[in-house]
Amino acid sequence: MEKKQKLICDRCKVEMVDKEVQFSYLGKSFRHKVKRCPECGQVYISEELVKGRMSQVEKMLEDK
Amino acid sequence: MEKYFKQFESCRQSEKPFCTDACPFHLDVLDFQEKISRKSYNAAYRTYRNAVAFPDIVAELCPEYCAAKCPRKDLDQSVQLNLLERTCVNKAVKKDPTDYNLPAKKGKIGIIGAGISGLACALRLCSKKFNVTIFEKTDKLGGQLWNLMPQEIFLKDIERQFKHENYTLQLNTSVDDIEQLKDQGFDALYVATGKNGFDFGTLNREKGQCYINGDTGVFAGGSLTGKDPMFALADGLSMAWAIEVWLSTGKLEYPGKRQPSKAVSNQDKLWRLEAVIPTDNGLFTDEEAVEEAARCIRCQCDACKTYCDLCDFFNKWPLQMRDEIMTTVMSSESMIHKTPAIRLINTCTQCGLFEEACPEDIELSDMIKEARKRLHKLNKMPGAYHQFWLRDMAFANSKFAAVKKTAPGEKQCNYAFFPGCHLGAADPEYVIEPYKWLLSKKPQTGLLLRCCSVPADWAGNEALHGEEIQSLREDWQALGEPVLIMACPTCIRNFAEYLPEIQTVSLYEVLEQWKFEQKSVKKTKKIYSVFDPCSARHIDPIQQAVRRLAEQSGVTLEELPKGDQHGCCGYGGHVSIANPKFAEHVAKKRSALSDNLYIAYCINCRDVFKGENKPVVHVLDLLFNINTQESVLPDVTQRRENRVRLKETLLSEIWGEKMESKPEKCKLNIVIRPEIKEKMNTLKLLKEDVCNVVEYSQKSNRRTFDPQKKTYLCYREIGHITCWVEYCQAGDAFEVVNVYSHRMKIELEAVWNGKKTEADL
Repeated sequence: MEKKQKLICDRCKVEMVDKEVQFSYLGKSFRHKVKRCPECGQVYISEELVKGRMSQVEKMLEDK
Repeated sequence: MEKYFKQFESCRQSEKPFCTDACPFHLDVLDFQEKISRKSYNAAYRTYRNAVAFPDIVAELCPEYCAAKCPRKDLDQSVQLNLLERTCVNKAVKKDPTDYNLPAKKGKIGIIGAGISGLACALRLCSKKFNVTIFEKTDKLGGQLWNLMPQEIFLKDIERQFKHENYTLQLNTSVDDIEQLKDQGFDALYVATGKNGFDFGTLNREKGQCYINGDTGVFAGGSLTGKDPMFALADGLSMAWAIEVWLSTGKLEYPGKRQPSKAVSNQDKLWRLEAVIPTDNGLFTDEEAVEEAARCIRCQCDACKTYCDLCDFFNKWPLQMRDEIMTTVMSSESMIHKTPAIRLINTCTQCGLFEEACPEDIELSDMIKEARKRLHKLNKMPGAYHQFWLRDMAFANSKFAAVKKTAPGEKQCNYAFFPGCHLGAADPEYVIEPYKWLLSKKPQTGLLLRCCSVPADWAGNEALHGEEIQSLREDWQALGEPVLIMACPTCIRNFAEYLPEIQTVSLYEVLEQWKFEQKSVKKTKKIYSVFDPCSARHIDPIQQAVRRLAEQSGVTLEELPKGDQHGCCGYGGHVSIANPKFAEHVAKKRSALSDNLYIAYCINCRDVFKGENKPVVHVLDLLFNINTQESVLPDVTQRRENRVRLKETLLSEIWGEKMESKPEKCKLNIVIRPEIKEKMNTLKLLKEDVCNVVEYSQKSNRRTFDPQKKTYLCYREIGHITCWVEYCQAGDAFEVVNVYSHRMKIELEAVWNGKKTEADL
């Protein structure tokens, strides 16, 4: 099992948790759970997500 | 857009090969050959049977009408299609027809004559479950076949094909008068009474060999109408179609003559291949059949697929591309509106080779350019596709990089050097050296250093393009309307299209005319090939000037196999962000045109080939000894720095001026690892962008800390993309350990739990 990575919001000094974030691209909006600061709402998106699912969705919307 | 849509009406995409055209049955030879070449004899047999109805009979009797039309006829020998058919019929195992469980159809048809034509018509109609009665005056089926071939072949074939069909056969029944059948309630009659048979008044009618008798449609065909056996059989099949039309619509549609095929045989595929000699008792073995099928060059109009990179890469035919493009640019706010061609539209390199290859002069790249404009207007153009180049153009035209000056001490100029924005970005010397030489020949030569505005044109942004063109015009007027000496063929093409009032001449012609003399001529044994950019295709004066200059510099030249008949290097149309795989595919394809070293005279071609590790030099390298093959390409950030350095050097060395304003430097001490620099170059991210993100993160504290890695991660939107930077801090230095970017926008971060947070990205 992969170790759960701990991440801290540098402004609020609290641990980031999984929360929904709204994304939009080419006029379409959708929600996805990513790490967010429970205090200020700052978002963290990993390179893995950007290169994987996110780029797939971008490609899908461009070719739709 | 509609103008281009109409052009496709004459597209020859669906034109049949010449052999199909000559075949009485219009056999789909492309499909047949494809199946033979993978040894699928059963499938090939089905294709053959669907066309000819009686495969064994036709394979035996067909005199190969197609052979006369085969483009191989005059080269070696026509493809032996009949032999392939006979091999197929012999090798197929599953020869029984499929038994379809269809409901009976309304319509009673009488067929007079059980010869080859009548039987074919009966078979087609029976298989569609019409009520068919055949009248035959003798006591056997087959008519003239008895005189033409062994009875065991045709009787077996007839029996097999009619295996699942029901029909009434009245042998020894002579029909002498149509009135004889009046009471039997036939809706249609097919008269196939054979050579010199009775025609029942069908021949030489106004609408072909048919007429209406009361409620009955009477049709004639086959040998009765003077056709040979194969055409007689084919007649039976087409009459079945005419009868069906008659039954469903009440109209007489006698099959007319087909227009001759307008297919174009691809001469590139046509080289000498001797006909295969069959060794298996007069038939082909498996390997021989495959070899013979491979001799067929599959004639059809495929000029676009052969020449156009877009058609080839997407594996799409023009009509499909047209439909997808039209759907995409239709204005619609509907959620279900499809835009299937956004990527395709943004993948065209605008090289114009499609237009040259198309025998119907369809202007696909113009259509695509228009489509980009529409996409932009409809706000459907993905911003990230062209953002990088539009920002690049803005920088090239900014006070940090653009130069508009008359020669020192001059108020106006007759000539001005227009190097384009990429030449100096690749290496400032490419601009400095030629300009100094021009000044040495004509000291009044001015300089106009800026972008030609093609990025806005390729992005479909008409308004921005219009502004840039206007500003270019004003710059030119301010210099006294000089003749512009152009270093980039794409700039020349763009000027000719949008600024026809400006007279241009290529730098290479000027170098020749103003008598350029090489300082030191180094003879080399290496053989070079000049790679003509697509924007200089057919522009003979430029092409020849470059060749002569190159030869003067001591190199030996050899032409590329097809001269300038090739597409773009992959830079044109700014496609590499929209479709990086395509850009790479095209660059590799062009690199492989020849093993020789290339000489480019468009700096973008040079950069693309260099990126592909193809040995290449710019012609200016040969003339002014600027770069060698081993020189390293600058990355996106260095290209900007080069532009600033170029302006600074020019101002100080030519005009003795000091550059007043320079781009703001990053306030932080940012250290970027080499592998990250490479990644930034691929993602087309500038150092300036990364600084921007880190600076913002430091200022706002909006960053995530990873306690294990001891790194910070932050992001900021840069126009249409969001850039993420991971860095660690050591004293006052910020070391960037990773960067990545995405096109999707993160929404609503500014409002969190109902309260506004500071997310001023």
